[in-house]
Amino acid sequence: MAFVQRIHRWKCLILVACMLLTSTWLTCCAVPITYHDAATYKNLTDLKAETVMFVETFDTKPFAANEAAIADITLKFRKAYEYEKGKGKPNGDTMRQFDEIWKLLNADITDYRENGNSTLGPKYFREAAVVLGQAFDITIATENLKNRDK
Amino acid sequence: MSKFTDYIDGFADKTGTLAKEELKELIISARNDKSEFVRLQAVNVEHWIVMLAAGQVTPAGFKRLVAKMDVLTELETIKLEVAAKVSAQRLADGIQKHVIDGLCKLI
Repeated sequence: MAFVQRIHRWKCLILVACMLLTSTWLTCCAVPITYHDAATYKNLTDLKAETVMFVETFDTKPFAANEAAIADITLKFRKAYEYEKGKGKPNGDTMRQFDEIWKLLNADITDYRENGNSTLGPKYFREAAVVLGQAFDITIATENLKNRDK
Repeated sequence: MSKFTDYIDGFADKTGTLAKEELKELIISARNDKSEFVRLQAVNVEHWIVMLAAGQVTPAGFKRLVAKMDVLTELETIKLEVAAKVSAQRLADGIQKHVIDGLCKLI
């Protein structure tokens, strides 16, 4: 009986030691990711609404009529981007997503400036705006996946 | 699917470059995929082919839209990476709270 109790005690000690080792390992190697940020979520949802509605107008409005609005939306995007950049390396995934969205938006603005929709089709930008909206949706969903900080 | 399949079937492809049946199969199976992202991409491609058939986008516009799928795929990949990190962070935080701050103070 004493032997069985000794075995049981050893098992408990080994279990506690394993838990301690695991916890030390996990806390030493902090997971490089930021927590959910309500400001990021708001920036993304605001930018989605503004940029999608704006790109939709590229099919019908001449470039000159939208020039000031392009500068305005570029500034808004840049502000949101700088906010994300300020969170540092653990926010690298969100930064990469902002880079990808900027690629889409910038390509749309460049096409609009160079040819309008004359070479791409009368409803091209309406569709490009849909894709831009999908890109924002994935990024918003990514932010929503993140843990809430206690 | 009719406009989409009609357009694909109607292609005069003397060189046999386009595998019509395979393309239709690919879109149909992607539309029934488990992943919401894959299903959405299938809907996108089908819709763009219908727009191409209707002259709403030119071949250049169609190619530009298809190229945008690369960006969406990259965004989805990052989302999946974040999901994995979030699980690891949840475990690390739980161990900190329950093992280090809880159990270790008692033993």
